[in-house]
Amino acid sequence: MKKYDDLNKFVKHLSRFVSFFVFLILSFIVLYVLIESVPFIRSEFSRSFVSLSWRPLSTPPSFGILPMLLGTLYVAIFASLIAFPVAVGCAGAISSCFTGKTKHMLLGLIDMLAGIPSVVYGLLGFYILVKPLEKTALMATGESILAAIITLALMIVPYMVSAFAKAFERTNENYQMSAKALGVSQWYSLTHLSLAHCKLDLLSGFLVALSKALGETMAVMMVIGNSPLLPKLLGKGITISSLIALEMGSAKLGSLHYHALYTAGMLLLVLLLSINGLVRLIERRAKK
Amino acid sequence: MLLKKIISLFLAIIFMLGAAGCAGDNKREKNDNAIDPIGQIIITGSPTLGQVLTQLILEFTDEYGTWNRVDPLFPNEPIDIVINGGGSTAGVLAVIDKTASFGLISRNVSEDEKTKLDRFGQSQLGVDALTISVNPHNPILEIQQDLSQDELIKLFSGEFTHWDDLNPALPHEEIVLVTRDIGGGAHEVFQQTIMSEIEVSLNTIQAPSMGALVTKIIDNERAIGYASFGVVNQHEGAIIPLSVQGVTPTKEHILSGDYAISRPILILYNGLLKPQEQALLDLFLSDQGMRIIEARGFIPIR
Repeated sequence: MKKYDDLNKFVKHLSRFVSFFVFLILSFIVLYVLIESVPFIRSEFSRSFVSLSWRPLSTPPSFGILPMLLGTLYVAIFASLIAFPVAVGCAGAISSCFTGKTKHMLLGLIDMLAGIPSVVYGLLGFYILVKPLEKTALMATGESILAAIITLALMIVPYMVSAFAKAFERTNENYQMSAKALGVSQWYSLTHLSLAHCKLDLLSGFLVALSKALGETMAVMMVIGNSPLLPKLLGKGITISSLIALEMGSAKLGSLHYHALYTAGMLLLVLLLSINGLVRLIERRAKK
Repeated sequence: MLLKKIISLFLAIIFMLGAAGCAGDNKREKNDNAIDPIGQIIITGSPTLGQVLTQLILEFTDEYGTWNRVDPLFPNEPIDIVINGGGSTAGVLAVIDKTASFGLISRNVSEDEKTKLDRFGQSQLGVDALTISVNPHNPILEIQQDLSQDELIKLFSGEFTHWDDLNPALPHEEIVLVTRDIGGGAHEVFQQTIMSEIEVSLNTIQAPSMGALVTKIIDNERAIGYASFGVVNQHEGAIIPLSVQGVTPTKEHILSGDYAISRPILILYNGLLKPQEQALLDLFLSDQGMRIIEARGFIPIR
């Protein structure tokens, strides 16, 4: 038995070490972004951060982040709202209508959807959404907030479905027998039992998908047009992450432009970390 | 006890791996006199030029395979050359940081950037121009094949919003401006030669690459943008360049400087080149290199 004690201890310490390492990496990222954004925050132009005009190379420069921030929130929130009912329906159907192998296969397929690289979704969005939209009389060019919302909604559905399906599954395990014994129909048990019982899980799944949508870069960059304008459904727009991806490669090292992009990154990071914190809080309450 | 042993063994392995990594680096930088193995040669910079050189390097690698076949004095090791994109500025930065041997730059290198290099070295491979291009179905081609600088400024600053603002004979359709990202080399060249003090409108599609910019103009009949001469030649017929101030963007006009919106194609390096790097640079400047630059639509320096 002594042998196993030592092994246990070793595994325990190893996992501690690894999780500490992950924590270290995360804090390094946060710290690095913070340090790189300090020169901008201290500069005389930091006030222009809360404005509408992004002119990083003009004299005097102006670094208004509002169009990007609003664009990010607009696109991510609407995409999540569209994805939510689809995902609830999909998860409900999978968890209550299918059993055994079919269910496993469907869940596997959904997970595979989540694994498709975002650039593929971007290409799909470009050919299936942007080009046909361009042919309509609605807009002069197909790149638009609308195209970004639909592309993103497609991308985050799988995340929501797998979170919701797990939650429904748990309720089923606990209550299915009793529900069946009472002669409750499948539809009634889905709407009145699973949905009612999983409210907090639904909320946390929604938020996880929302944070995924907030940070998504490549697919959005390919369909949104990348113009720092205030977001309008049929107009072009830009998100924080696509701004960073677009301009970081060409921003001169050490320039205010470079540091301002880091500050934009920090804003996004704060947004994501606070949503993640919220998710943890909800999950803890859901367990109680 | 066993636990402690295992942990210390684990740490020792990590340190050893780290030390081995450092040792490798030292060895590579140590002696410049004897011809050492070069390992991987990294080239970073403008993706538009990267595509051109990729073909050249593929031919080079296929022909020789190992360095000692290029020159018997070189060590027997496989030729390993990587081209990264990222843009001209990324290329300059990589050369300054020495994370790349060569930078591919499609604009002039600023004085400020030159001072940051230990030892500034550049070779010009050719010339590219930014053509003001439209879709072949754009009715402007039948009415007015030329744009003055004043008209260009009004187009790109957003003062003209519809095509009939430019010329009443054109339809009342929205002008779709396509540009590159604001900090990039192409934008800088356009800003300096055409716009000078005036800002380019925010209502533009900022394409993440020159290829994407050209694709947008090929797709959209209402689009106008500054497309690279080389890339336009690669898509001949699908995108039509207009003349600017009465000068058409042809090879002769660009080389003579009559066509104003042009930019050099440069290869940038830092300090003394290793023999293998010098061989590569010679390849770029060889007839074979010039031929490929020309075949890809750009104007070779010779």
